Amino acid sequence: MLLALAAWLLPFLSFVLLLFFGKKLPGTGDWLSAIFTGLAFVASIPVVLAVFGTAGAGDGALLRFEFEWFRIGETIINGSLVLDDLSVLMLVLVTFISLLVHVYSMAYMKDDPRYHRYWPYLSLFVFAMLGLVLSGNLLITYMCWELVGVASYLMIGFWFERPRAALASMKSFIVNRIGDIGFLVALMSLFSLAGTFDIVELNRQVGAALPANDIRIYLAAVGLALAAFAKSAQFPLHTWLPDAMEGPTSVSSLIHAATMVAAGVFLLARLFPLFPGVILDVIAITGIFTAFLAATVAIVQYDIKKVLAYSTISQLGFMMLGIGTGYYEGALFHLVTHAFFKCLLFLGAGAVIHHIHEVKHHHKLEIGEQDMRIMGGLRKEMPVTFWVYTFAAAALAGLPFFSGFLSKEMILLGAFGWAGDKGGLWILVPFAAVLTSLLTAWYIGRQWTLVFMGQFRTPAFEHIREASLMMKVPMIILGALTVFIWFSLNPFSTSNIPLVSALSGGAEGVHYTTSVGAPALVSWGLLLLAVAGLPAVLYAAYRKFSVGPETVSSGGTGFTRFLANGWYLDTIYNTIFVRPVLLLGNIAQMLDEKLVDGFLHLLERLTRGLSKFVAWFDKYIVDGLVNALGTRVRSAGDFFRGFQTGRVQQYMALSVFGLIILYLIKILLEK
Amino acid sequence: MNWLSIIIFLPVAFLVLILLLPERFREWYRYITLGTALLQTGIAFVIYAGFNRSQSGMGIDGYQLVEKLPWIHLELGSLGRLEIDYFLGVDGLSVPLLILSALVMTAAAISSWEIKKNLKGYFALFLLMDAAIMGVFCALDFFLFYVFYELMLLPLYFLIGMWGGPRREYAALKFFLYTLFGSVFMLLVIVGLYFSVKDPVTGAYTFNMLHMMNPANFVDGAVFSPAVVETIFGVPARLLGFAVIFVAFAIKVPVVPLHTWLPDAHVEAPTPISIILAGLLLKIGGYGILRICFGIFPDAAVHFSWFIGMLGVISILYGALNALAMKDLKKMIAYSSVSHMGFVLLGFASFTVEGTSGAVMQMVSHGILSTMLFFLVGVIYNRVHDRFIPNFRGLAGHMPHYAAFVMVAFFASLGLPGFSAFIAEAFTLIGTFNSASVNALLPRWMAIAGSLGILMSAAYFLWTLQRMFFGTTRFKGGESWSKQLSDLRPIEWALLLPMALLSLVLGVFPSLFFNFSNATIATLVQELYKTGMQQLNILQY
Amino acid sequence: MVPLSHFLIVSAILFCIGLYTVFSRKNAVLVLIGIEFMLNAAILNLVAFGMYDRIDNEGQVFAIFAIVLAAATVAVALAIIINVYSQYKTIDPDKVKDMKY
Repeated sequence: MLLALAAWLLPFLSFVLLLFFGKKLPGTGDWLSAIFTGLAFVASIPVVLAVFGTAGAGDGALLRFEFEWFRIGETIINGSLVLDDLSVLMLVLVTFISLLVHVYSMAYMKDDPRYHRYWPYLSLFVFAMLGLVLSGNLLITYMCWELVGVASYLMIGFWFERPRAALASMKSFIVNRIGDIGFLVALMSLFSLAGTFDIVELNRQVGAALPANDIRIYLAAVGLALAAFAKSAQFPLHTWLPDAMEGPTSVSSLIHAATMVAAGVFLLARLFPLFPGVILDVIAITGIFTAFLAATVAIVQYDIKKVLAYSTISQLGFMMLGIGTGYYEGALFHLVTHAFFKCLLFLGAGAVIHHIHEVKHHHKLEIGEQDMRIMGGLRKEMPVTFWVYTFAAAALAGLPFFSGFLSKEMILLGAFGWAGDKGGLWILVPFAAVLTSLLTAWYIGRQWTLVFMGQFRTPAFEHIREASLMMKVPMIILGALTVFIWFSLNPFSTSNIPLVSALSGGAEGVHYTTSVGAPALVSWGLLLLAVAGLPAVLYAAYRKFSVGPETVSSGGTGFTRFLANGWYLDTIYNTIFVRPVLLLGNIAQMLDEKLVDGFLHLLERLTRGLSKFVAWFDKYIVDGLVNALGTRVRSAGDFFRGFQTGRVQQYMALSVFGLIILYLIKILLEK
Repeated sequence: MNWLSIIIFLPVAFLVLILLLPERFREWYRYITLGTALLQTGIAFVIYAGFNRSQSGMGIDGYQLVEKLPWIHLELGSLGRLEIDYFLGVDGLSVPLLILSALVMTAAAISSWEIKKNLKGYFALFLLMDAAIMGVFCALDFFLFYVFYELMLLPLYFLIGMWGGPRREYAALKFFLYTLFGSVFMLLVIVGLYFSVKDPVTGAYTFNMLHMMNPANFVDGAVFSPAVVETIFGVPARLLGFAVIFVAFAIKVPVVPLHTWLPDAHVEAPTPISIILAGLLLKIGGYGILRICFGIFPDAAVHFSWFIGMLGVISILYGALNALAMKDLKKMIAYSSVSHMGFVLLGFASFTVEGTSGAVMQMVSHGILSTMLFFLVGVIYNRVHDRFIPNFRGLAGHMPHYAAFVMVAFFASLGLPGFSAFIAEAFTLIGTFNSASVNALLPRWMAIAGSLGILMSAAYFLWTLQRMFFGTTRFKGGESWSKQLSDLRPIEWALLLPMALLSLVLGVFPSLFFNFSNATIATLVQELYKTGMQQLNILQY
Repeated sequence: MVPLSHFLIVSAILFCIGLYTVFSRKNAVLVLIGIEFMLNAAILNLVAFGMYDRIDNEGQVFAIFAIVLAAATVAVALAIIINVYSQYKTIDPDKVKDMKY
């Protein structure tokens, strides 16, 4: 238990140390990060050995570690770690691949000016990812869920001076945020339903109440599915992943192929009991649609990383299909095998890009270092890379004897069984999956041929050297893991795989059973397909693209353009979401300025107008009256002033005259 | 004289000192102010340490550090006795805000280093405002509260109007009129309440808020008495009284559509004043709504909860949309404040413990984060006197430490887990969502619409980050700007680092906050809901 | 015994002469003399009416008072005239314009 905790916290320690002291440490601390991750891996091995496969039915064998985190009102929120088959499997997978990528990165990132920033980000990612898989509290899972998003954001924008990288990092975070909102809504719904965030408790309580027609269950399921779709790059939220290839290739390999993007699948598997059947069907259909869509897009890409990115989306679609058909052991199995071979594919692509980059700088060539059209014939110069890449490609295509065959076979079988149960048009789903796996073989065959086979298309590539030891070792280890033998002794049968049986056993208490296996006919058909069909497709691809030094024609019919642009989904989203929201923002701003402030200013003007009127009234009406009176008095005074001449004699005459008049009046009155 | 009086009147003492010091000790003023703020922070933590976390309740026994002195006691003949007390006390709701005030004041004092003219006046007003803000959070007598509330307004008017940007007079006047509009009508309600409530011991009319919160103290037949339905213009008086006080505080919060003073005031105010505006003034609005509006009129609060929640949702979305459209960095952050304070309203309206706790925590968290954000804007504005987003590009390469802090502040504000805002917003929304099943006050879609605000906050913060900080370095001012835009100075580190850590610590150990406020808020919410529903039954016959 | 009406007639004539003098002269001293005429007409009346009071001779008493007062007023008036003259170099009342308002 403590070891698991240590495995979780070691990367965190490394993150903090590197963040503050990274620049001052020798080698800017790359060894620190690598060693801590290595220690985490070492610590996780005993944990796996102790836990994996030992868990029986129910949750009795679950190991838990709990502490009171905080309480809000009467509710106590516990932080907890849960160790069961699922989480320890992910624990060992994440630490292992991280370790390999750490080692690889030490060579790959060597000359970057911001080398010292790379390591804390990587450690942050490992910490967050481990937290995500180990946490027993959905709230903490959510926190780590967002933290991996931040690590991914930082990594995609690692070369933030490039505007495209900056844009891609923002896009990835915001698209993921849409999923996070779904997760948040799910959190609210589940908390409202059960009053706890404890995953085991939730699975038991809510799972038991599943048939109930409470809207909150559906809200939670839809929210979680949305979250998983965003993180695992499923339609319609998949568009961030191809853009995420702006980050360093080693990062693409770890975060955007092997681990983080699988978190969505992991989440669904983790909370599998919460999903009502309808939502599962939606997940299955989305999965297969995404798989098909991404495969068609991958066919026409020329950027070596974009092909792999779309391939990742497509394979994640397969996993979603596995989850949706209720066959989640298969999905997780594919997750594991995919993690190995896709990580390897990226590392191989990274090696190619790295060395083309060197040559490009050395010879001052004006070429895109990720463009497959300039490659070709690299098998001679980079034999090790070529061979491990071949293995990984074979595993991706699903050739027998490779791990990919087993896991994909399992999902397809599950899908056929599921469709058989449902009947009707549902049968289209597994057939679409078969079609997609053929497409997969086609695009990976195309890539393999374009990059490694044929002749040099750029003469300067004669100077390309094989990858350095630090890069070779992780690739060789991963190459070895693409072979069937590690997973099943029988290369053709999926019936006896220890990994899978452990997984399905561990979660038996809550398992949604796929009652019938696929009919034997189907399993033979799939085997035939794998043995005959896939190699045929691969060979066809090889024939078509194994061209000489002349440049590969980049034909652009309307349809290929449609595919190459990812079905124009980015443009569509831009038109129907991004622009309207920005427009809405501007409208709101205008409302604020014109309406709210306008109203205020209108009030202000009215008040001012009123006061002006009052001032006028005061001046001309009220004061006018007073003034008029004054003027009258004054003019009367002026009139009488005229009598005041200053002539004494006149005064006297007037007073006599006045006396006489008074006397006359008296006489008249007396009469 | 207990800690509360000291924390309130400490700035006043130093204010006198500053006024007495002659002009040639000008530079000392800064240190005196900073020292005051630091002392207050120290006292705040003493209060924090000595606080009894389990004490709660609606009456006087729910409060701690209570201090009650007769202040204005007059015989008014036929009107009875006038009783105004100097009445202070704190509970789990006000102490976090008190600590926040001390911290934000310290931050503002540090960022006041940018002030260059008329230092004496500036720092004197600054300290006066400091005292008033502390007083607002401690006062339990409505009259005293109102005095502090208005006292805070006046220095702010001058601080914006005299030390602000180019349109400072407009902004200051707008701010002043807005706030005054609210508080003047509030005064009417205060008088109405005064004549409705009697002190149960002395039998005199009283301004005591705690008496006002207890329905038993209302005089039969008085305007605001909950026992009978008095109407004014055909509207029940209690609903009207609530609405009036609510509007007064909603202007402070600010709630759309009463928010337009905020962008103007923020943009024109100098950095420290922006910090205080966003960090504390908005919190006073939230505090007032919960303590006074909800406390005195629980029935109306329950009655209007749908509208309040709706206003919250509108504020969240509308503020976020506006922030998206802004080209001025400071305005963008100002609108993000509108959006974030919407959560506070939403949480209050939910009448759940989770929602209310989340909302109060959101106030604390936003206080810390907006301090950081406005300070960060001030950093570049002080260097090149420009803060237009399109005028900068690729700052991250040029000022890496600055960019790192901006990223921390932005990510914390957009609700990244691990920072305080996440816990706050998540629980606000959880409470809102839960409201439908607990008390059926708010519909669930409000929580979902609120969470859309979180999505949009990511959009505007990250877009700004992308536009200003990423890409190749290019400034509008060219070479001269490159020289002026130096990376963070030690004093700026001294402010930013503790704030970032504080937000982080609160996000990772929310129990530091929740343990503290839980008892109070749980009692508060339950009591309010209970009395609210009882009184509402009377109100609706 | 001279009847009362004779006295009154003389007095009236005196008064009219005085009045005329006051109105028509351009010399302030002559105006003053005209005033004296009118005053003396009044005093004459007082004396004439005094014959009806043979016990106390109030008429005569008041006449003496009036004569004394008239002497005083003349003194004052002459002083004013002298001052006016020193101010304006004339004693024509029409030419002394500054007396108004």
